[in-house]
Amino acid sequence: MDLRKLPANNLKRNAGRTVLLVVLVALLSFMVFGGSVVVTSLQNGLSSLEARLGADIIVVPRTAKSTTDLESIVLEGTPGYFYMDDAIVDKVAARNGVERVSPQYYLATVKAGCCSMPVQVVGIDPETDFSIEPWIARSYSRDLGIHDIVAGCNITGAPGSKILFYGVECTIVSKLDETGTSLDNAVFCSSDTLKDLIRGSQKQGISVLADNDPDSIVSTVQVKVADGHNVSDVVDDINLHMRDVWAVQSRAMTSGVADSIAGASTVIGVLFASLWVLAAVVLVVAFTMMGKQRRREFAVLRVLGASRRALSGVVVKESLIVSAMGALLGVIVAAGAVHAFGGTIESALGLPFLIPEVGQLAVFALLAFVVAMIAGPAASATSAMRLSRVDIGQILREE
Amino acid sequence: MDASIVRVEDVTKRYFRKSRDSAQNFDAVSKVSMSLRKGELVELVGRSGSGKSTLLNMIAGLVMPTEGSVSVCGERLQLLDDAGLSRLRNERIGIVPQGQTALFNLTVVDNVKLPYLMYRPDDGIEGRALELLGMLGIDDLAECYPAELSGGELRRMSIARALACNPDVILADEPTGDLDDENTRAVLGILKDAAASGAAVLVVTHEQAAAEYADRILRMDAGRIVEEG
Ligand SMILES: Nc1ncnc2c1ncn2[C@@H]1O[C@H](COP(=O)(O)OP(=O)(O)OP(=O)(O)O)[C@@H](O)[C@H]1O
Ligand SMILES: [Mg+2]
Repeated sequence: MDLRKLPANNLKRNAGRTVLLVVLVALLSFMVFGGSVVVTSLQNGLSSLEARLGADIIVVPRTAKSTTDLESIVLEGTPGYFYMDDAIVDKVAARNGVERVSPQYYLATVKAGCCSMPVQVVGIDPETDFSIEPWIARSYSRDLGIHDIVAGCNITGAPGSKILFYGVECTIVSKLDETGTSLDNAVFCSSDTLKDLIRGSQKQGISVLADNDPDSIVSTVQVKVADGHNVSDVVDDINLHMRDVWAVQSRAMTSGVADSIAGASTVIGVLFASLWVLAAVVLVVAFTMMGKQRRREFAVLRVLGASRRALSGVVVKESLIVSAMGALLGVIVAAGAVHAFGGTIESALGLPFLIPEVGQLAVFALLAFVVAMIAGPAASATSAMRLSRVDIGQILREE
Repeated sequence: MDASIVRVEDVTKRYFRKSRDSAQNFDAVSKVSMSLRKGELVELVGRSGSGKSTLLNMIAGLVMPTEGSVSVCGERLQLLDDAGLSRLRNERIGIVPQGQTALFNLTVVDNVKLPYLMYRPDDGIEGRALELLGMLGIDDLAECYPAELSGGELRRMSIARALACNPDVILADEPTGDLDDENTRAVLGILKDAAASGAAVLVVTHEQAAAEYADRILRMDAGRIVEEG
């Protein structure tokens, strides 16, 4: 038994104390890891929703404004549709302050091979799109060919499988990341594909635009405002000068949703941060108290000839072992909990909740591990330092 | 060069002490000079509170003097850094502190071996540890933990531990405090043997029995050495 083996021996001989400390450290790393995952999941959910808001302004038919729930169709992919003349696209593009425009096309399926619920089909113009494609590109980097569709995560069918929409056979080329919104129930395709679907529906006689030529309609125009222009000025300009359409600032439309999410994630973030601080404080106190309680033991080691350095080595090594065990335990339990209850949390919160990718999870695990590995040993090192400020003889007098 | 292995020169240890109605400086040890030579056993006696432990701890480098100097084996303790002082203490000085000093996480034999293994490889220290425990009559307790030992047994263990590294200087603070006559004699005999084989031994004691083992007796009172003989 020399000083190198002393730490492990001390831990073994004081199993109760060791277990208590391990559990405490585990609790801290659990909170750091779990907390980071929850907060990031909420932020991911929020930003994936925001990616939908790539457009500054969305222009819709004026009639749609009163008759449909714009917000849920445009942003959340609730099945629904409306159309206007495609000449609108160029007219909007010509307005002052408009940098770029891109049309979108909506169609709701009545029934499809894949799904028990109606599915929202969103057509984008691959040439001009700037709001949807960047998001799709995360899972599918090639161009969308004719009859290719990219499916939300809740759509049944693996990439490569076929779905029949209004008699038109489409191929799922990719599945999207989860967004936590009903966009997960939508599919995306090029405008050409969508027009084929509209024709298919007309053939089956279920179309509501029997009298329209699919080639001359659009559902919305997504607008990006040029730098230096005020978004609401452009909105007012369009609403004032273009009779048949209604321009909506997409922020305004979603501010309700976005604000509540942002608020919730801030609150949760603050909550977790204070829990970490609390756990870290408890940990530091526990390790410091342990150091105090063991002053005499440490003084005896000094009497026998252990240097300050050697003593700190013993103390720090002990708490490193405890912290490593605790941190590992905490991270594993937290990872298990996230894995097991992630879905439950998602549905319970009713908020877009996207669990981060494995890489990011690993970073959080590492972070939690490092935080837990620092708190205890730092406290121990500090108490060892404090110990050496006093004469050893003085400590031996304490009873 | 004289044969002094421990030299204490004009050493004072001053504490700031609060009493009921005043607070003042107070010298636990006051301008003490003394020395220890190789091969002698010196007894340090005096009333409780006279400064015996304080003096012994200053020689051991466990308490730093306020004034004066302490040298052990030619090294002035105040001039050494912590690593140097710790090493000197381990290699040259065997200390039996006053009070309870067992390491409760280690068996009795591991307690005895630990100081040796701090700076040396494990080259048969187990045998020496058991031999020391045997001389002190507790070799049958070698594998016990300190919590299972009586006060007197623990004291004997700490004496064995102080001797484990074959120190040149042995400082024992009331090593026979809670021992019966027979064990007191055994312990003093062992310390006497250590002196006979060249160590300088300083023993703080109340026992009159110790007088017959001592080469010299130092008497302290109120922080000063008042009698030497
Ligand atoms: N850290 C300290 N602060 C204040 N006073 C102290 C301190 N250490 C020792 N003293 C005082 O110094 C005096 C000498 O103490 P010391 O322990 O050296 O006495 P002692 O001779 O060993 O007594 P005993 O025989 O009871 O062990 C005592 O009066 C004690 O109260
Ligand atoms: Mg004393």
